Amino acid sequence: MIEYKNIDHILEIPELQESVLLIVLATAQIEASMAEGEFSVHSLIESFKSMSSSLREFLKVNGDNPALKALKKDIDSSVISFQFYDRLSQRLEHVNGSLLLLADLVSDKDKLKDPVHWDALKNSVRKSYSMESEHDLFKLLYDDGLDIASALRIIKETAESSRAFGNLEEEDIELF
Amino acid sequence: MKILVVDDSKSIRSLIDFSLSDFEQLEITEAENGQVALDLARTHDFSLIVTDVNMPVMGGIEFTSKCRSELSLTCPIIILTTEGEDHMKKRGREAGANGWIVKPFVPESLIETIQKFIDI
Repeated sequence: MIEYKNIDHILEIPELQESVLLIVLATAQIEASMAEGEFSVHSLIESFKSMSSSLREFLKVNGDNPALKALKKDIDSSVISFQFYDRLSQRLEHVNGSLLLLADLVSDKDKLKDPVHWDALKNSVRKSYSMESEHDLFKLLYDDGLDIASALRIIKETAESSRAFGNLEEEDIELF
Repeated sequence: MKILVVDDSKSIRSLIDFSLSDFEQLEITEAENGQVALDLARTHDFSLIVTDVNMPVMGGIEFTSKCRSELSLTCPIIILTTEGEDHMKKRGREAGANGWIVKPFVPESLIETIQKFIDI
């Protein structure tokens, strides 16, 4: 759970104070949605586990039944689909963290006008990313200077041929 | 045979458990971060550990490193993460991990990787 320190020391500029409050509200909404989603997805996973377990018992006595075997395969493949929710959660968590860092910066009048703090913020946001597509999007927007639509189009094109969109041929497994 | 699964996402822990559910001889223990896992590893004898990298309190790289240096554990440690960059894999290898799988994982591949280290 991400915590926001406090905004009591906020600037005397009302527009800025409102902006910070809106950012904090957005992060709270994201966190609430993530908590609801986590609960629902977990319940769904438990249901699939239960179905898989029952099916395993059926297969013990009727192992040659092609319909049962196909159903087991379908249920097992859901494991991959469910993981996309985890990726979504992580991405939202990183967005939340970035927004809170931004709120912290703009609510401090000394930091607000200091480019060093903006650079530090940018670096912190970049370091918070764990997925390649997050780094790519950051690079396209910040380093390459692309507009949002173009950057998103490139990310989408790359993603569609990647594992994140179900292309599981490019598995990334290394043994040391 | 005991396997320790370390991930801050309850969903991912459940999915790993789900993926290994055909192996009735496996006893899966779950931990939500590296610190909890390290405490468990002090008192339990795990045949294999699967851990995420990015977790609160203690991440998977630090956990792996402490398993090797503080607890002198020799069991295989497989890192299962969304991180796919080479410098991260290098850190994992240097910490003492035996394998690296980038999420989303395919259940069959996870099982095959585990089978390269333990007999299930």
